Amino acid sequence: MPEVPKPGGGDLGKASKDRSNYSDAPIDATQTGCSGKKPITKVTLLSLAFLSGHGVLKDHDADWSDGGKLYVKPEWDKERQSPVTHTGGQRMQLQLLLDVEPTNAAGPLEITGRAAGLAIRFLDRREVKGGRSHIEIWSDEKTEGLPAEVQSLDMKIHWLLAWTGGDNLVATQNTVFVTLGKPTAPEDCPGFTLKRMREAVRAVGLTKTTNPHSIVDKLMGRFPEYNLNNALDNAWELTDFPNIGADCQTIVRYVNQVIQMVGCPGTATFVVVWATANAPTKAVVTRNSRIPNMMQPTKQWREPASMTEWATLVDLGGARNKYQACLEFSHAGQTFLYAGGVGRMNNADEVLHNFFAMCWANEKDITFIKHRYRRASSTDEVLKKLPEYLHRLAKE
Amino acid sequence: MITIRQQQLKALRAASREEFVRQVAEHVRECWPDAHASLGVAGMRQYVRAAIDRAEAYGISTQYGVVGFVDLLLALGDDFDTNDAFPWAREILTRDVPAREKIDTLELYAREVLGENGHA
Repeated sequence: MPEVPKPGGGDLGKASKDRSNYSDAPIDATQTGCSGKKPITKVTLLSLAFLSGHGVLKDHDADWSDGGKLYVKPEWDKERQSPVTHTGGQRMQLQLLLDVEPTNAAGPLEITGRAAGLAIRFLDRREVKGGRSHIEIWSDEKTEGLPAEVQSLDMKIHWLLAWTGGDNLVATQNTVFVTLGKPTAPEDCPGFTLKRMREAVRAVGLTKTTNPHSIVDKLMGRFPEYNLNNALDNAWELTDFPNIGADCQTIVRYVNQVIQMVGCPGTATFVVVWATANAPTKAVVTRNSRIPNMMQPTKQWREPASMTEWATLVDLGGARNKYQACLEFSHAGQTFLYAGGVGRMNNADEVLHNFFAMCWANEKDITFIKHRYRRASSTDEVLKKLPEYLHRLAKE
Repeated sequence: MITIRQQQLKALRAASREEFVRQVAEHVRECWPDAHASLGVAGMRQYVRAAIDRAEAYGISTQYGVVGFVDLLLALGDDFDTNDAFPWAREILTRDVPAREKIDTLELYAREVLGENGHA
């Protein structure tokens, strides 16, 4: 058994070029064959692979869970036309598998590819030999390349393969999800499935912008209010509740997953903002977790000995909250807190002061306003949830 | 007319195979200098002979195919065909397609893993 060398220490691309000197002859062939070359009679495009695509997309489309298999390369051949994801505004690198006939042919081949409806062009001219061979080709840098905007393209490329004495016209077709960068995902919700990618591209595409802060702002703007009655473990399911909405943490996780799926530049962190009963005006920020909060690890009791009333954050609608979930998003030197179901805030104190008050409450009622952050008007729902003796304190 | 007996033909094939082993070892010296240096000339030829046997077990017996198989061994590691880190490798190696297609498809995936497929 020979010794085994360590992997690496070389370049597969260079090895591939050197390998092109080898034929499909058997390794123990006793002669190298006839040296006379014939003219090319036919060139067929057998397959096409998107080398500059991200190569992360999986075929699961039945529901919002992770699953399925990676789409295999090549993404186009006669039997299969798989979707791909690709960063917008960049050149495309493709690999074509050609079959040149007859097998002992040799001669020049000109390849032209034009994407229908797009300013993308592929041009190549080279000497080819008979048999099957792979050709790597970049989109022409003089053309615009893929559009920068996030969108789903039905990309049809018309290929003209022209050799001395003939040509062949063939079209390839693939769905291309144009993104802002390579897709990523939060650790607690991995998986680049077709269903999720389609939704993310649709949602971000509707924002009609490529500015990361504007994208986050507009995605959050789809949910102007939170709904505490709809909390989803898998935030992708929020797509199915466009009118019902969801609680703040679901909205924030949904937006985080959507922007990461399209490779949105910037740093996004899930945070919750709350406060302690001892310091109700000082915002506490917990990152990457919904714990700790007003209720955990222990409730903040009004009277520790009796343990019947605890601190809670009450909003102007009168709902009790453990926290306000936000997406802490930074890009180009700017950081904002995008509060789920509320909107963009400059800092955690601003988020906290969007609540009506920190109150003491028991299982049934709000019993006391411990600290009021803002005044309630007579039309605010919170007044209906407060006992009458607190109305004056709420409004003054 | 020249008549070549079976025994002579066998000897010719063995010689061709050895010549091919020498060529592949030279290819490794050129493209994978660290690996070649670590094994030396004789060690590398022995390594290539073993790699040919392994490639043939996957139906790869063409010159292009075997060189590609050796390149993948050296790029990804000697166990790339059974390593759980590359679940696609065994699936592609056992496909019922020509050796060249297997190697070219494997290379696509390998370059993805190694980060050699880039953007402009």
